[in-house]
Amino acid sequence: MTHLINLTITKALQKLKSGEITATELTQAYLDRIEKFGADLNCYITVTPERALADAAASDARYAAGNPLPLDGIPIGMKDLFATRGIRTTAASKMLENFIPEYESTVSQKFIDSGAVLLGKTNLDEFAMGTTSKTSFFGAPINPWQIEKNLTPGGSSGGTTSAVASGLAIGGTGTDTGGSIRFPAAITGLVGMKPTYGLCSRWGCVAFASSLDTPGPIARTVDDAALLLSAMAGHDEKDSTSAAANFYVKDELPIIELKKLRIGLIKEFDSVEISNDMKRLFDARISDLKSAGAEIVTVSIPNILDALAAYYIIAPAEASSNLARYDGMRYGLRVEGSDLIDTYKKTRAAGFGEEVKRRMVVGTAVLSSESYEVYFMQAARVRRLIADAFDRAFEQCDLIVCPSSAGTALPLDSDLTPLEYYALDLFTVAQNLAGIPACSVPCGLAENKLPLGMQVVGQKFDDMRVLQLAKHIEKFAGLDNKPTKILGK
Amino acid sequence: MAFSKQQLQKFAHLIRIEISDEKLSEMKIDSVIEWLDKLQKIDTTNVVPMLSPSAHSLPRRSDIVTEKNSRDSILKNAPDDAGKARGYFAVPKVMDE
Amino acid sequence: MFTIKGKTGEWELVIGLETHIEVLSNSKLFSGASADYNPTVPANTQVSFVDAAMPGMLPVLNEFCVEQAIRMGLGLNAEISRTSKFARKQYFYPDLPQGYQISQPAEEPPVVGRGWIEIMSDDGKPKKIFIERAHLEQDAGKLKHDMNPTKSFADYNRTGVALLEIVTFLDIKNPENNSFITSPDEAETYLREIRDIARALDVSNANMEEGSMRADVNVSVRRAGTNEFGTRTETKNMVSFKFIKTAIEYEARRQIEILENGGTVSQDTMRYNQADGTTSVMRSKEDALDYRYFPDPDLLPLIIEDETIENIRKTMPELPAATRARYVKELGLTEYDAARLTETVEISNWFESAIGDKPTRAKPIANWIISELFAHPEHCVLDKSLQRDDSLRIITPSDLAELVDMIATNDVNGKMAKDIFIKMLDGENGSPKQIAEKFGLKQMSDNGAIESVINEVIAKNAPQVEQYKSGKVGLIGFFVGAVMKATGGTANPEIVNKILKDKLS
Ligand SMILES: [Mg+2]
Ligand SMILES: [Zn+2]
Repeated sequence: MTHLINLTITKALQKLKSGEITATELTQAYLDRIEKFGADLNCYITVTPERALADAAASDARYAAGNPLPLDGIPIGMKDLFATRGIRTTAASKMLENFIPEYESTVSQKFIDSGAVLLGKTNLDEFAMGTTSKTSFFGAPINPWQIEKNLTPGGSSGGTTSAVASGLAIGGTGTDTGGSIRFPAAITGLVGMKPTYGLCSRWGCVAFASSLDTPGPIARTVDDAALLLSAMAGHDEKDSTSAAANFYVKDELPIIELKKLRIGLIKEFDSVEISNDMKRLFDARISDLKSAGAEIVTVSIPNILDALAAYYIIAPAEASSNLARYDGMRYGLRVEGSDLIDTYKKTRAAGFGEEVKRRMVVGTAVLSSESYEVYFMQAARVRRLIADAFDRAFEQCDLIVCPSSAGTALPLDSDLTPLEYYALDLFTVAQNLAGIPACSVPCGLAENKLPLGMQVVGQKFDDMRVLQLAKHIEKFAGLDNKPTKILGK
Repeated sequence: MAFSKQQLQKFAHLIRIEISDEKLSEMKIDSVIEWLDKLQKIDTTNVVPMLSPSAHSLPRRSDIVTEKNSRDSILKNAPDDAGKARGYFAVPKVMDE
Repeated sequence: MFTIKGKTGEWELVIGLETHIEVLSNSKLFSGASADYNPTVPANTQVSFVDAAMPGMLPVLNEFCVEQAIRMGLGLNAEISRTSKFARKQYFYPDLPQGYQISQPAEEPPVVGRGWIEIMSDDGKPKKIFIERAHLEQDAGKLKHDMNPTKSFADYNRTGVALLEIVTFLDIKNPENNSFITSPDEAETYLREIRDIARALDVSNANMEEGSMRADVNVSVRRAGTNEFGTRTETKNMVSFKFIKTAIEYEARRQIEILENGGTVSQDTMRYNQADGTTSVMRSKEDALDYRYFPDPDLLPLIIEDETIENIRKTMPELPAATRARYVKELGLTEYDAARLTETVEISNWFESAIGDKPTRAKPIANWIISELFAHPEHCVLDKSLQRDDSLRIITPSDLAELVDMIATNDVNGKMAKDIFIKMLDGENGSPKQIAEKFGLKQMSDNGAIESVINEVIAKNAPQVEQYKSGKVGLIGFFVGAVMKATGGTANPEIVNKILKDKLS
């Protein structure tokens, strides 16, 4: 049934509507493939076959009754950071290894309300802290491109990118705090959209850094990403930071006229060392856009190269606070100690992995009374400078494009220093600081036959045009990212 | 700003993580913090700190009780059963309040 | 001014109070769980996923709690901040599920800014106490230590209920420009005033015994007549007026002794020991916790519109200070009576409704309320926290008005009125008049009838009459008693006295 696996969401919905295929067939095809390759790819922490088949049967009934929902019968993977009622939700941490929430996150509820089928909970970096997904307590997921090479699918949403690229889900969810959707999407040949902060609710999504965390879709095409985002987006009164905004695309994105677009390149990124492949492919896509009539201008975001350091102050600070609730008292792991404090310390020593601990200690350091002004508040001021600079840049252009990463997927066993791993987010973090939408879209294959991506960045709530431009780039790149091609089976 | 080993241990204690000095130095936290220092040289005079990308003011809900008794749901994942029968979370004995 | 005499001279006290009052609201400050926790509510039945700090849960601010804070702020004559912020105060304790308390710490603007209230100072003059701020924050849960031999049990019903913390102001930079609490008695007066304002505004029950009002007490001492401030200590979580006064005095004497012996006071956090009325160090300055306050990224700045404030201002009732002044001036009550009758709005409403349009009732009704009704609050529902128990005979303002009028018109005497009152407490229905009728409680005020009883008494007690006439005038009590006995207690004592004196003279 490989033809089912290679369907995009757009195509699958057409066939479901026409009755050519059923939701149960489609879901079963994915479950079979999970059965076959799931263990090798390690992209799911929890697979939910019974739930998936029940969801699919309900979808089929709605199709039969002639009143299908927008994503009826579409089998997706849900990053295991979104709480799912009655289904284990771990955040890839030993701390929550056996945690079964009694509530449903807003995002996953919206997928239920759209008729999507839940295949399972996808792997990720522990508490979404990482760029490789190998900080997961459940082991790293594998990049299906050149599977024999054991490459990382990126992080933190690496379980979803591994699953979607390999055909173990038709699409899925991620969360992007500093690049956790876009970077893994880029190095797995997928489309990853970080929407405007506040467009998708954070309620029920395990918090990493509240002022940066942004749920978003991961898919094989820009249109698919737009359909998933349509399901996820919308105001939620349970999240005080949720915006009174929505995003909606009916079947596919309307085409945007390139001739009328002014596209900005960020001057400061010129000095960043990137691979020859990335440079070649990025330049090629720029000239494609130019030939199609877009106007290319240079803009300046003076402190954008400081964004990474600002991010690595703000995100750990918020994380050190958000993760205080994992104390072994009410749920999750508890390791009994000699007294209360000892119990706390042993529980949290055993429950959290090294990267989480590193960031929490850093986060505590930058919030401590002696360094709050020097680090935390200074980072918040630099954040303002960056956000303001983006605002000014968007007075000179409609959208900005930039690389998604410096190079292709790294081997899982690369042993980089923490700072080298952090540097993988160089092209992505500034957009989180500013809260603006950014989409990584494939821009072609490197010489090593691994995919690379580039980003389209827009102003707040300009998510639609971001995706519309990404759709042009997708077409220019013409990357073949059919799962059977990627996995070679 | 460089932090001494004792300071780092104090931070670990504040967030209740047991960690050995060796482990702490292996984690290269100093190098991370040292790298963060690069922000110090940026002139941010008169810059208002940005704490959230959300531009709206804080929404307020009406004063309505929307949550029913969900004690069983709340207690379901409790790591210690000792208090469940009577509706409590059991925690290590604390004497000092 | 209150001073304490040390070995080397007189010392003044500088007292600051951080008073927590629990805000009355239906639901919690940041969640939709019921805020009506009380000891009868079973453990953990009013806990939402937000209160239990389940993964991914987010706070949403309760608008009514904000309005309550504004209302109290107006009662404190304070500025209301148009923009204020919430921040996290971080520490670990099993009664704090999030690992932080959402509050509005000193670093962030509070809902309520600078204000003042007026209290009666020790020297009997009105005195302003400056308020620095009042801010909203979350209450913690409760731990029980006696339910299991090896564990403590946590109940999160109270977790996240709104508290308003009211902090007094001490202008360190301009020491001459101050007006603060300087004695244990003033501390009590201040707290009672805060309580009365909170109750009048329906912002809080502010009941120390029930824990809906708690205070942290900051104390420092300085040589009488000097302007500098000494190092202060903070005694945490005080829950009775009496303990607060004892703690202040003990702490002041302890500091004076240290200073007079050439030592220095350390800025410690103290605990109060109920058993012996002493304080001891809970946490020394060196161990001061680093709470790592930072603005809560789940919450945005709270913007309060002028309109909201004006709408609340329009509904502000008369505050206790104004009510008290009116009672003294217009009704001729004493300061003490006025203070007792304004402890809650329920009491002053009850009192005023009993007076109705007859100001002459004020004094006797005040006396009845203070000496009798306060002893039986369940019968008159003077305290809103008391559930009305309909199986009891409820004594209404009109019952008391009728009773007081019956005394005024000499229909009954005081003793009879008390009997009627007791019968009402015992469940006797019907108005005081009907009860009087039913039990034949009617004062004999007919001069002729009383005179004939007196004639009999005089006739029967010739020896005593002799003694009286020979100067033993104290015997008048004997005669009155005899007349009262003969009339079954129904004779009007005034008339009896008058006629007796006439007859015996
Ligand atoms: Mg305090
Ligand atoms: Zn407080």
